[in-house]
Amino acid sequence: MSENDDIVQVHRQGAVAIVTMNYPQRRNAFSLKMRLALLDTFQTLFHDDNESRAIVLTGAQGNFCSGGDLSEMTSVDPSLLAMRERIAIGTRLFRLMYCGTKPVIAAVEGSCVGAGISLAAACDLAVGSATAKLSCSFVKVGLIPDTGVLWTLPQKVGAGKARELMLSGASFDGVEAGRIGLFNQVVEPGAALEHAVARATQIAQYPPVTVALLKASLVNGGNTLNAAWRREVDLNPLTRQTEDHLEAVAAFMEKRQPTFSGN
Amino acid sequence: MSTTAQTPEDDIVQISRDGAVAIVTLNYPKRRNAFSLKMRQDLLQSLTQLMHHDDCRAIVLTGADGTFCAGGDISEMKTRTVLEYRERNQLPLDIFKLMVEGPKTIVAAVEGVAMGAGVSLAAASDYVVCAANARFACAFVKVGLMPDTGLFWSLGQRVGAGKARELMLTAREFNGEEAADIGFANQQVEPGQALQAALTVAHRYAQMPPLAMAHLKAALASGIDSLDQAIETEVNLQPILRRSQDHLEATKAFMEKRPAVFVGN
Amino acid sequence: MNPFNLKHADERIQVSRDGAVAIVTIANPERRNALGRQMRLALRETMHHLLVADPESRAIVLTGAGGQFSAGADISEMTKRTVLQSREILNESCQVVRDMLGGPKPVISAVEGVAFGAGLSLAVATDYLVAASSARFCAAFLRIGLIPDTGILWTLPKKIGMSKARELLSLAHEIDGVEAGRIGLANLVVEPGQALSAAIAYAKQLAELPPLGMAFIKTALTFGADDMEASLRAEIDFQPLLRQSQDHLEAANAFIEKRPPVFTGQ
Repeated sequence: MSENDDIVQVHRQGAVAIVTMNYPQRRNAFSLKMRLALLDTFQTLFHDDNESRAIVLTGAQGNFCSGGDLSEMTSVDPSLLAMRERIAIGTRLFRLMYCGTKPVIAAVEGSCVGAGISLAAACDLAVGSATAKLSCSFVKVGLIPDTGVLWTLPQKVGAGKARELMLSGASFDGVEAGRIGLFNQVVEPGAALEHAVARATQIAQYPPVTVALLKASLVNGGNTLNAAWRREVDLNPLTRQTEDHLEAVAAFMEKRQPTFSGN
Repeated sequence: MSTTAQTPEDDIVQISRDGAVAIVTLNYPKRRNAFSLKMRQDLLQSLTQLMHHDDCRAIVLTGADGTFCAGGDISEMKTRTVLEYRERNQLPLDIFKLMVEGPKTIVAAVEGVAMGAGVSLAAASDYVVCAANARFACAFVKVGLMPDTGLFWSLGQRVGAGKARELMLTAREFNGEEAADIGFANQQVEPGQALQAALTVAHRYAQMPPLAMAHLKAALASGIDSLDQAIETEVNLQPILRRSQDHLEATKAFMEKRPAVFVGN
Repeated sequence: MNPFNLKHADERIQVSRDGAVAIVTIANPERRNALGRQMRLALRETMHHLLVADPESRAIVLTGAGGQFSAGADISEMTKRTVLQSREILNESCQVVRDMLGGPKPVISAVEGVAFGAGLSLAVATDYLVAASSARFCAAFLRIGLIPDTGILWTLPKKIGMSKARELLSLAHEIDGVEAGRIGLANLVVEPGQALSAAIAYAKQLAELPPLGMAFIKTALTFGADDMEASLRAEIDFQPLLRQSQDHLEAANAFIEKRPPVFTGQ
């Protein structure tokens, strides 16, 4: 269990690990400290945690993440190279979430702005409140959308809509987010976490090896015909050899529930 | 419209004809048209023939007995070696490649269930008509398998990468109405009407100039992986079309204000 | 009349201004703004000039004269060309697509009347499309035995998804502005006659945003669109530069000081 004032907290509900961004004074802004804490947390959850099979990402006190901390941006950081490194931290976090072995589901309430959208879009699924407030606001402060969202937003809402949202920085709500595909499910305000955990729990019951391979395949596998083809040829035989696949077939034939071991 | 005759049990893939449109029916009703090895073999053979037959200008793909295809035949799923699986995977991929890269348009007519490989076959088609109460699911992950028969590519193409991810990871069911809503299906119809509606669309496809259609399909399959590549593709292919008889005929017909007659050259 | 001193000026490609918005009008109204080769060359050069050598404009609107957008390539010009000539002409036509989508300024199309064939390709090769409800869109190429061109094989699926794009490209049927709005082909649908003014209004909004950020986003979205690594590289390469820009500092400070920002493009 995390300390109450940790900037990123982790709680568990069965096989689901709930990661909460906790910087409520700044509506969970994506400060450098937050980025590093998230990186560390996801690193542990993906690579050093047998208990969890799925992850939920959410924000404390009714907000998801309000994006970059503008008070950190009012003067020039003299070193271009130092800045590159800081941006690279964001991309490392993105890679971890997007290419990791366990599904990540976002539970979005309130403010989901700038890097907040990047985080939501980097998740496999997003459940959001109808009254969530979103915008891809980077352009308004003269920045380029970051933390992988140049890639993930078009994936979620289509390239046309993503271009529109990124060039204008326009605001939209949770209902619209659902309509355009950024949210997979839109819920009553306050209900996002509960529904996200339900989704995560369901996926956590599927054979973990296959889920991990599926997620890995979706990183680049769907892009071109040949990449998709290769993915299938190379990985399908592996999944057929897993204990869990054979257990699934046996359970089906015997008309009973399967029990998956993770092998 | 021709009707299918009573068929012997090993007529697992039936072909019938409606003018320039060929109707391919998956016919294994006692297993809800499961995608068995024999079905895959016969389907590949039938599609290959039709793709090269001049009289056939478009193809409708459907399932017998009010259902499309319930997926892999679980009773066939015994233990095999990795190399055996690689070998067996070739067949569905060959079917998928033929459907997507081949010269003729395929219109899927989906009633009932389309799951597992059933979803893949529908997704690999150019145009999908489904009954509003059709049932789809990418159920692979539930039995520890990955989506196959090209679904990694084709699902995202139809519903977008985000929705494809959701459907593959959650393995949830969606019906014909939602299929049309999310772009998986181009058209939804009343139950029982899918084949008729598919034939109507297929006949429209059959009227389009065959050479241009073939090149368009090839381009959309693997020629547009970036803006630059897409431009290269059109620069390579368009001059071929410009010199075709059908293009010259079409421009003449346009000037003379009459309908064009395409010969496929 | 060659105000920009272009190699291929043409009186049928006209430029006017409204504040920081430059408006490019395709004007060949007796042929519903069909585009012959000369016009396409002029369009390409005009657009390029406005995008990279015109400090007065921060956004561009593309439209057609006489209540039509463009009926596409001029069919009467489709005489027999050699293969090499065809290739060159196609390459020429596509440069404007790269420029409009990947160039530094936002480009908005305002569509009244018909956008057929290459007319549709041009309308779609923009950041934002405003359509009159009565506008008519058709990827007419297959009707004359050609494959869709002028970049539309990439731009249309990107804009409306492959299912719908495949349908429009291969059946070559017509849809109106309302349907275009429904499928995402048009970002905004307006009353007939209102497309240009709505497009200019939207362009003015975009023209107020930091130009440097805008430019980098556009190039990343166009040339890094199909590769995750390219997208990630774009942010690592461009963001530090932008963080050091005057406009970014101005934006951050204006926000803290609760006042409107003033952007210079530096």
